[in-house]
Amino acid sequence: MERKRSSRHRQRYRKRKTTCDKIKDFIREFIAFMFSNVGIIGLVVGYTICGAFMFQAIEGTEASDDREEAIKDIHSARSKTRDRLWEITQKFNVLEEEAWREQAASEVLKFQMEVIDAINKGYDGVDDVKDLSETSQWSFSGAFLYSLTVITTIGYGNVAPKTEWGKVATIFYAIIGMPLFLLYLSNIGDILAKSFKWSYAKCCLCRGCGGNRDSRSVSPENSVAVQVPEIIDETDEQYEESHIESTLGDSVKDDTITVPVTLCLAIMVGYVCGGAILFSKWEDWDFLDGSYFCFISLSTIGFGDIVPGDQIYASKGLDMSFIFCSMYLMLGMAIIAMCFNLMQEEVIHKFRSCVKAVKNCCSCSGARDDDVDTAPIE
Amino acid sequence: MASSSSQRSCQQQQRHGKKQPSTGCTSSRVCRCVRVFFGHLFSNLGLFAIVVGYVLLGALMFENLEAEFELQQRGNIKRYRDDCLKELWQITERLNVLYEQNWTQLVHEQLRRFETNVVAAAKLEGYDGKDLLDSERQWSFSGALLYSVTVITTIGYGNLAPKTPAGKILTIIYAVFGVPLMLLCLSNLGHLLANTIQFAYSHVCCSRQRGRSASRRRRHTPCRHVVNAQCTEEGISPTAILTIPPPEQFKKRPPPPPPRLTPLKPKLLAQDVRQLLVECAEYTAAQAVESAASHQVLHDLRHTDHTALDDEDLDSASRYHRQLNTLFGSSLERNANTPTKQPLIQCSPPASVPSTTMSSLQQRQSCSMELPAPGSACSSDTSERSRSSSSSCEAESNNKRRRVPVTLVLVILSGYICLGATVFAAWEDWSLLDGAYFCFITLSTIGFGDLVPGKSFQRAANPDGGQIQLVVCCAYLLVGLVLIATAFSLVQEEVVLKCTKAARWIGISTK
Repeated sequence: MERKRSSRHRQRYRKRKTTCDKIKDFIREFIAFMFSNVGIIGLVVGYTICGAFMFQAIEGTEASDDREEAIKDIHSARSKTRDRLWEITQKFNVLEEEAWREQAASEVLKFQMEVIDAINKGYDGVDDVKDLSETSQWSFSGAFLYSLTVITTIGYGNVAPKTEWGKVATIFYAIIGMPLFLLYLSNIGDILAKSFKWSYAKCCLCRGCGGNRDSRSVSPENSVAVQVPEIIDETDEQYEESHIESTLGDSVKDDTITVPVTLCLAIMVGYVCGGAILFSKWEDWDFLDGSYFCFISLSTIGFGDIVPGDQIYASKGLDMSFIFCSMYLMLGMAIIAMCFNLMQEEVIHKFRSCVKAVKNCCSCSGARDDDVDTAPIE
Repeated sequence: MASSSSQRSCQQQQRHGKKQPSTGCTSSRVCRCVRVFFGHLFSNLGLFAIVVGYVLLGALMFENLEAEFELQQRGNIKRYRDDCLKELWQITERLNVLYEQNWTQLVHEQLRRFETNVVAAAKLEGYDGKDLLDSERQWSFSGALLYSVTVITTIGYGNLAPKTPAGKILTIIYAVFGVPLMLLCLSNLGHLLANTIQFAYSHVCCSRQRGRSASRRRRHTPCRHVVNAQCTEEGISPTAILTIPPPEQFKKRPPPPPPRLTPLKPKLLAQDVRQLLVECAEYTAAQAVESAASHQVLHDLRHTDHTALDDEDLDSASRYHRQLNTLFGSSLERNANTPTKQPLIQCSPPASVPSTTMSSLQQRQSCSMELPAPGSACSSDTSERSRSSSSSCEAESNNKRRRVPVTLVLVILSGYICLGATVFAAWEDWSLLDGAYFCFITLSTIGFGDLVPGKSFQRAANPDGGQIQLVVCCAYLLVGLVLIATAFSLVQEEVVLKCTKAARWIGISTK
């Protein structure tokens, strides 16, 4: 009797789960997915797109105003110089080269100064005011690349906010965006590192086939006990598989199989060279410029002197350039995070032994007491 | 009781033939502190000196490579100007009768061509509008110095960028070696500063608390033995014994929570360690937290043989310690159980990846025990006194210290940014917002390069004024980055804690 009552109670309790709870659960699952390993890509891209719209709205109008002004300045400078030169020419009844030249030279110099001033204001060779909107720096793709450079801390600077609101918005956008991007890097880097290790073990070492089967027979307690207290969605099946593999890998494979440092370096160099070839083909650079650009971007130094799609008299094809550049950067930084992850253990181990040797040399005699006392702990 | 136990421990050590400094325990402790301090300082200073040398070397190299090209550009522009004039003269000569319209049209086109050349030079070749006769260059020594610093800190302004192929290749190689070097130096200095600041902060807090609770001290004698026991010398001090080395492989995540409770075999423990563990277990039992398990541990601890310190004791001590941790759940979480709202047994988790390289060598994941005697009023005194006395004992072991609060660190950082903002705004005639924007963009290593100090001075009549600004900018940069590294190292654990807490509250991670 009691059992029936309790089961009826349980049924009633289950029905009582309101829609409110369901919504909460759904939101929780959604947030967990977004911050999980795959969803964070979407989060970063979404954040960048929002940033692009925001900056386009803030900076788009101001920038074109400034550039219009610069173009007007250039036009007036040109006409003024021309008129002055005409006056000079007219003054001379007999045209002597030397005298004429002296006077004309100062005019031309003045003209040059005004051109430089206009360049500082934002003039970049586009002459007609009508062409401005097509070649605006703050097009959607330009703003997208700008937002990406802010959160990755590359910071090219070829496109930079000029308004006050733009600067304030940049600061806050960066404060939130940089940790988000670091989270993206660490998550994706981890996944890539694990899958790369797994495929490396499978492909390169024939013994890995037998080894995998053995390690899978290890009790599942290990994988449960070794918790990964990151923000992960544990219902993500794809992750669970790799999680189990990785924990087993952590306990068994990591001791025996580490990806060699040279392979990681080769991957990074290969990615830089691949990007260099692509960009030099599209942008008409030479190979050195392309690899220089790729390296400077991926190391987040980001000078901004060479940026795809940033030439004078830019053509209409710059939209694709920027988008491709952004994708290249995001993927590239994830790959670099993966390589660092893979190289980490070996490098730290080697570095530690190095520094230990140095320290032993430096504090030889005196440290023997310390070593004896602290030896059991180490 | 404590003094006898400490004497016993000294004797025990002597019995086992360990080296005993002749002048007594105090001076050896001091010697060791000093030696360790200088060891750390030397390795840090050495690294810092290497970085400074590297930057200076880079400045020299880049100046040599790029200054010529810059002067070449100025020469080019002069040539364009002369060509333009020649063309204009030829136009004037050619037309026998000067009609205004024809002439002006031709002149206009010529000017347009000249302007295109100037724009191309400014955009692509880094021409800055100066003349050949001007003495100052963009690629002066201080300019190249700022350039080198921006390369290895990955800020990368870009207002000054290499234009020669040799310069570009050299930049790549320079960055490949310089960026890790800089990161290493920053993490080192950051840890050193963080330890110093935490030490000073806990000292300040301790002295303030000590003054406040001086009257209460006399009433609670049972506390004293706990304090003294923590301060015993040589390696017998419980804090040293309970030091647990960090895990071999550093990952970004905090260490996994301790494994589940397993039954123990009673092992041999040192007198003081067992004493402390017994008291801790008593406290745990008194709190009725998983009383069965804690009573079991208490039983195990009480009924072991009294023998001298052995190598195995470390394992057992750490195991007991871990058990007691599990009894309290995750020790970093359930702080509310202890009277002082501090965790009973506190372990500092290893630092995360970027700064692990040196931290793994310098820091030990050490655990110190705070044993509040039954009676809550005593506990705050024990904790404070134990902290202050233990912190004065061993400079290197990370005893439990009052953590520097996150808000204080944030305040210090924003203060530094505001300071830089006011200074640069005053010098460069920027608005305050521009100054703050510049400081933020620089210190976050984004580094646009649209606003760089020294530019306005370079345009002014005073040629040497710009150089000082650049050097000051370099110094501000480096100090700011060290401060940021310090801030990371100080607040890291807390932030990770809070984030995992928030994640659990939201329900993202279900443990």
